[in-house]
Amino acid sequence: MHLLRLASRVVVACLGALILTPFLLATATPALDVSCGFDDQIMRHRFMPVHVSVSGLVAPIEGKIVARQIREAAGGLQFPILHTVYEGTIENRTYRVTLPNLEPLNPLTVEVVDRESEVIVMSENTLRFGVQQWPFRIVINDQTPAGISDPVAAPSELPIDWWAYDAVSQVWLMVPIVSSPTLEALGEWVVSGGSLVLFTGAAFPRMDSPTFRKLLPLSSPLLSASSDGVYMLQGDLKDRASSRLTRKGTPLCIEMPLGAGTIALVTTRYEDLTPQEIEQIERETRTAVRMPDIERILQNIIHSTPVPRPPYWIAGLLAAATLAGSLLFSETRHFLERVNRLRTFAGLFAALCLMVLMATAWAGVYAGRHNNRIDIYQTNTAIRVQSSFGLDIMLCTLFAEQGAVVRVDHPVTSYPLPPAMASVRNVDLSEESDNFHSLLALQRNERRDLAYFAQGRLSVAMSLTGDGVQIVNRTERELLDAYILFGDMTFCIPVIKEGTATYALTEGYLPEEKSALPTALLKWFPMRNGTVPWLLLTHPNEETIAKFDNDGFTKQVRQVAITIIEGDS
Amino acid sequence: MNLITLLFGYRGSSSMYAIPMVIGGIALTLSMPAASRLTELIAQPWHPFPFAFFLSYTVISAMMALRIGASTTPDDIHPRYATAVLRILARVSFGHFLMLPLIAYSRMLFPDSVLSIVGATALIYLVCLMMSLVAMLLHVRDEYYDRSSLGRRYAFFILYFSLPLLGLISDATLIRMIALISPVQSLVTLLAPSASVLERTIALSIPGLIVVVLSVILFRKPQGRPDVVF
Repeated sequence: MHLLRLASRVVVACLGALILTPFLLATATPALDVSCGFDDQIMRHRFMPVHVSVSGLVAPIEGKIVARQIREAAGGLQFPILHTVYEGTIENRTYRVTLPNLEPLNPLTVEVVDRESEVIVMSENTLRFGVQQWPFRIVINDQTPAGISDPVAAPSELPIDWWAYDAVSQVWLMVPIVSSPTLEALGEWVVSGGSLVLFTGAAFPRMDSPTFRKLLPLSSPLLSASSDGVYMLQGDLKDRASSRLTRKGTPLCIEMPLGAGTIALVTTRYEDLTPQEIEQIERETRTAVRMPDIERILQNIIHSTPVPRPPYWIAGLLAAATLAGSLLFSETRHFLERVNRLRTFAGLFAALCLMVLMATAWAGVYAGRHNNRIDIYQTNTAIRVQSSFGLDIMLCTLFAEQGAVVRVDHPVTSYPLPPAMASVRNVDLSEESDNFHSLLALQRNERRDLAYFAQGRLSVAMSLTGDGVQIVNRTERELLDAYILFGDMTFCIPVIKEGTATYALTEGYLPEEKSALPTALLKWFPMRNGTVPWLLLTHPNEETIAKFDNDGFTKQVRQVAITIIEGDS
Repeated sequence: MNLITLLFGYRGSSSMYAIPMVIGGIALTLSMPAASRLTELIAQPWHPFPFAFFLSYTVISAMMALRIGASTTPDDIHPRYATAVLRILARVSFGHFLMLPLIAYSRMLFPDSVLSIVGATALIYLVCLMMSLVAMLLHVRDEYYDRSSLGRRYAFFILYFSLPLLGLISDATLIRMIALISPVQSLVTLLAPSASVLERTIALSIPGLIVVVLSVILFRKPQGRPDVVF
């Protein structure tokens, strides 16, 4: 009896093991879970946050995670776009990256590849169901609030790159964000033109943090309960902040511009608002302003980029000089023959020959020195914006006179976003990028614009004082040719010294050669609205032209940089 | 005969030297890229044909060479073919000497290939010599029969420049090589960076061989009489 019981237990254990083994094996198999966008919502030709979760690896492996998209062009042509998401030791964790979404109608394939280029695990992700036509609003909350149909993202899912919000028109923040980099990214996005709505009220104590205070339009926030028991946030309005809505005389919605964007503070929780108030808030708050067309900004830079070319008039001059010499010689010959001065004539002939030889030598030497044909032109335009948060935008234009595969080192650790092209016929759009460089196949006479984004470092601050302007310069070098724009007025500061100093304001003007880029940026940053002063650093020393051979091609690179700093009034 | 009479002592000598310079100068000027700013280059990425200068130089020089050849025939003062050949050599060489500044400046259009420019110039020089010699022979023959050589000279010019180009229609390499007989195809081959050494050698050797053979024959003939040659 005892044996029988033992035997039956062994049989059950074996059966159990048989049934469980596949499941155990399945858990040990490497797997990829990929999520794109906010709540799977994306937009074509915008950046999107991508989370790649690797699981099931028995041990860490050396290799890389590659995201592959297929971009289609006219005529059924397909071009692979490869982005190396991560390279190094891959282990079971989530990898976050912000990638440009170039073709959402084709699936995004993510692969884990080992050092021998063997695919360990692959995931194919359909993006087409979440494609939005227009920028959309997202709600940051742990659960979907009542009456909301917008995409909802949890704070832990938020990206730390501000350009990941590229497809977002407005962010409604309803819960605390513990991660400071995530909150910083939201602030940077606002400076770039984003629109952030903060729902505070009773949730404020949990939301409060030094970074959150930078976003808040109130300088000394204080939570107080109203007569109906609802907690409302009150305090002194910061400069430029204004109340948009009130409830029984108490500000309900306070809006403050920051950089190119706005922050709206709702002084209660979302749950404490009436439907009418929510509707009013939706109506009163602005949507995000995106960077204007790259083409428009770059137009002035491209226009002022010189193209080295041989002086064509020299060819005409050479021909004319030799021709004139010969004709003069021919006519003089007749005259000298008549007066029988053949010795003089021989001298003239020798002079003609000498002139031709000298012209040849000069033309040869000149052509040897100036035959600098350029195959690829590149202009790098760095736009640095500093407000409460800093951000860097790098725009790059490539133009190939000869078809070439060009290696472009990224100015910042971001993937490039090529803008939509009007015509893509016969253009090879294939691209291979990691965080540091891209390989672009350019056809003859093809222009390619790229945009890179990065977090900026705050190094200069400015505020108006009674007798001038106080500037804090932490760049450890003197800054030359600074301009302050305040309303319609322009003030010049020839030299900004290191450290803190006060400068008297001397009215001047922005020279024409320096005004092109700031004028183009006016459509984006309100530098002339007169509410706050903007400091403009044009970096004259950084504008250089360099030539070097790049994989057998001669490349001309032009660097243009501008820093705009939003001051305090 | 002094040097001056040798170079300028025939009818229309000044225009012989002037016309290639004017046409070559215009072609070289137009071959230079026009854009001075990147916007202009992007808006109008016009890349002038860099061979334009050498092509126009070849065609015009060859036409002038026909005239030089017809003007430099054996006469009563210099009845030997050898003297006529030397006079042709001097006149054609002087014409090319005057073109040297433009040839040197054309390096702007071919920055990486000095040898190609030297090869192209040598080809044009040999073609001109050959055209002059042929024109001289045609002129002597037609003068003997008391008729104009103009039509025959230009017919030869057109056939020599264009007929071999029909070889390019074929896909067969050997037949395509026939096109190298034409100075146009030879020039393009010499200036193209992708041309092989064999192609360059053939391109240069065809007019070179003809010039050498004709010169040897003519040097051995005692008198400039057409019945001696034809």
